[in-house]
Amino acid sequence: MSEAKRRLPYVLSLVIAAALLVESRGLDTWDVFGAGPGLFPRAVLVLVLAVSAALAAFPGLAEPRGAADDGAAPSERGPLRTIWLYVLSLPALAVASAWTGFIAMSVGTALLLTWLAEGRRLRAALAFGLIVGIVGVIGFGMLLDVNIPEDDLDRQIVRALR
Amino acid sequence: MDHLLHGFATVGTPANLFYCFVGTLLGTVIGILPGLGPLATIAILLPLTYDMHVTSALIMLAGIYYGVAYGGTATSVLLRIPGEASSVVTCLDGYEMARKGRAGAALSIAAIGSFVAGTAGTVAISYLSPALSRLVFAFGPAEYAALMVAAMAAVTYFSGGAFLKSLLMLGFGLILGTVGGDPMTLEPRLTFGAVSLTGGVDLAALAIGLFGFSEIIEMAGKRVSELRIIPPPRTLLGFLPSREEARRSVAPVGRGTVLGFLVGIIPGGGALMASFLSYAVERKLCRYPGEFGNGAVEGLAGPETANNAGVSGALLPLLCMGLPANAVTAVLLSAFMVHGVAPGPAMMERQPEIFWALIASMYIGNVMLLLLNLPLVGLLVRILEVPRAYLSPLILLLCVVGIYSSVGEPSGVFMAVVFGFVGWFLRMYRFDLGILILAYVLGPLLERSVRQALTISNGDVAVFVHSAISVGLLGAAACVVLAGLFLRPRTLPAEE
Repeated sequence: MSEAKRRLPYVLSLVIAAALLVESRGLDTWDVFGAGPGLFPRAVLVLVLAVSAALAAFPGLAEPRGAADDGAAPSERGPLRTIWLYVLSLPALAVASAWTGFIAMSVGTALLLTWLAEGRRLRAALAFGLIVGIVGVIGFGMLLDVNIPEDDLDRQIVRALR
Repeated sequence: MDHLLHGFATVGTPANLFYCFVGTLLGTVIGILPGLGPLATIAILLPLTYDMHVTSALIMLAGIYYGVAYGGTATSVLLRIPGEASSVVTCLDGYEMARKGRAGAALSIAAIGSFVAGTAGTVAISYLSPALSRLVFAFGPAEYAALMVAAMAAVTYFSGGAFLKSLLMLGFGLILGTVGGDPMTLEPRLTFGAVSLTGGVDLAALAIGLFGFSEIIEMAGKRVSELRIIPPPRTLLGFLPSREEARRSVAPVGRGTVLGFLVGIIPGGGALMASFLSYAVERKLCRYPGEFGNGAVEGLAGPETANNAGVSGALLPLLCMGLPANAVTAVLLSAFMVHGVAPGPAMMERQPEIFWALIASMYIGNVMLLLLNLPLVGLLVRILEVPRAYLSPLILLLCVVGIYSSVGEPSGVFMAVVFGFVGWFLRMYRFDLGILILAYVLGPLLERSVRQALTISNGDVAVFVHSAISVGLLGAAACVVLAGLFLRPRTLPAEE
């Protein structure tokens, strides 16, 4: 791993901690009741800044004794396309939870992962997505009365079964 | 004793027995499935328990926690794949025993050892809790703050990875716990003006994102290989160990029980460390050290017992002091608090029926696990044959249900996705995510104790060194931090 890559997480944590420290400057360290809302977060952020700075400057401190490069072979990695489709599935899920219901979300997830990422047949993926979606709406939404993303299709199914 | 009998009466209702069974079965399944661990599972199921009776909810969630240790054994013995980090050691000798046609004996020795450890641990909790709780009554806010600092220092020291990296995770966990409205003044903190953060970072979004989503992406990066499951015995007779195997198991089971329980109590100790330590001890004491790694009974019996005893041990500080020893018990602590129960001496005084029902459920749960894991192990392990193409979408959708039911709106899913990518990034750099969760849960409690102590003392920080208890605890924390900085521990795989 290159030196820049080794330092990356610590530089990022330094930047994030600094941003949080700036955000906390409006909070009182002490107030009329005693310790204010700013005391604890600032104390912790100073610790985080110090540790991040130390690790960014000396990334070797982040390697435990006897570890680092032991020459172990990297584990067999799957295709890059599969990984990227899985990565894409997460924001797609988030958008789907905002704009669609559970059945549509389930079908979309199955198409993206089961069909596109894993290479299963389209019909199998569609059927799987539909079954999981309908079972989910009935099981979670109707029987367990749990809050799930819902749209008109989901509500129609619940209404039909009631 | 009366309290415990009353606890059994509470657990003995059909509803509570059902939830105990569901919890232990789910725990076993989660232990078998690599990917979805007990922490993410409890975080997913927690919102679904909001409408349940508090006792039933806690019985089920606790059942998941101690059930996982049983499930992880099956995949270690039959597939050489540890279902959980604490079952890694079982792969060494358990799988070799299975290869020699002794799969049934390996599974039964592990299950019986786990049962002995789980039951002994529960007995120990029953007898030690009242005394430990009385001790904790001597703690004021300053002492409690010192105890939490010492616990977090210990967890950081014993975590997987370098000490400073773990300290960084601890710091960020504490900070995440402060995001949102200040508990005393309600002033928004560290929200950057985002309305969705005024309620703070949701536990389900954080835990599921960090552990569930990031694990799914990590699994996607691995090539799917064909699983070869060593078939377990078809009849119950096939599970019986030979006389020699049984004789050689007795002492390791005894040692593993004691060692595992003691290690489990230590913050940062837990099932993983207990199993590794037990393996080292058994290897040292065994008359046949050459057999280790080639199917030594002691190499299976000791660690399997120790990891279950470690799980029980970790529950003791949680129930008696409200102090979680690891990330999973930290999430269990959140579960208690969400249901309006504050574990610790107050719970034993004011809600003894919940405390003793939980203890009684652990006795019953261990019996259920013994009965589940032997006859059904062949069936349960078949779960691993479900292709990733179908398992991954299912797990993702379950995660969304868990998050949505907790937060109630899509912003929670967005937050979890962000944490999912953060978790994936942190895993690439081998950060221990468990500490982050533990600090996130403990942070608000620590801050409250610190502010209470400073309020009582009119801002005099010397309040933290007034009592012998807090001086002792802070001194221990300082020693641990110095040891961590200058005597870095060996790396262990991170325990969820």
